[in-house]
Amino acid sequence: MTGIVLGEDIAVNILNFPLELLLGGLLRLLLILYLLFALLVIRQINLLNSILGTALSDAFRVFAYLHLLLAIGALVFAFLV
Amino acid sequence: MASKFRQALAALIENPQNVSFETQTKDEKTLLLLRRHFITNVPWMVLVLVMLTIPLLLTYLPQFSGEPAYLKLPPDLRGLSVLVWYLLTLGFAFESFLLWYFNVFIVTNRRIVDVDFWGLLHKSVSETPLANVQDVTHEVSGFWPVVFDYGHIFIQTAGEVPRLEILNVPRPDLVHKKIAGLVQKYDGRLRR
Repeated sequence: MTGIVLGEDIAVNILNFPLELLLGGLLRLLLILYLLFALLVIRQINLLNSILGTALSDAFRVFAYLHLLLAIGALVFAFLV
Repeated sequence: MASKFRQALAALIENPQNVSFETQTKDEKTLLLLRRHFITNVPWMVLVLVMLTIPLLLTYLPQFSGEPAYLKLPPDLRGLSVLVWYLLTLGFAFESFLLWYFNVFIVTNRRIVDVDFWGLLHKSVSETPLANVQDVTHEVSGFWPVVFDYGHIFIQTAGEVPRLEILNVPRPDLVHKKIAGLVQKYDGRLRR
């Protein structure tokens, strides 16, 4: 009997759980992971430029840093909203 | 400037300017730089276009098919989810482009260098001296390769790397001739 009541409580709690909060947390987590990805891209581009130097090497480096700034900006925005 | 940019993005470059690689020696000249035909980028480009249109579709299509859960979200959360989506799209496009751009095959007056790079965390560089090249073959197979004139080049070597593969390069017959010619031309000098 008690088990069924407990089960019902859990079901009600799950249904009442604010999905917006969950989605917001998930999006922020994704942005943190994306920031790590942006840092990894900078490391990768430096490595690749050392393996192969071309006319676009500097452009890639600049783009990678802009990409990192964008990722930081998005993360800041996510914690402000 | 435009021609320099175009050359930097080409898939088959003879005597490339402003190109250097990690293990290049002072007297070594880069004669040929190859990467996959640009047309092989079309699948990821189409995917990026689809990804770019999804938020727009979710916003405007419901007028015809009822309001989806996405539009019931608060505006700031909706804005954040669109921002995350476009960031992921940008990251995917950038990474796909880098994969294409840095997977190259370099032929110099001394050796052949194959730079392979898969994903963020794996790269491999293999090389073989021109003197070790035993056999060069090329293969064009399939509808799109025939239409756009691209295919694979296989280089059999006597060294530690038994076979080098250059996949989906433009004009494989021309590349085959060039590599075979370079091997003939420089092989004699290297053996002497």
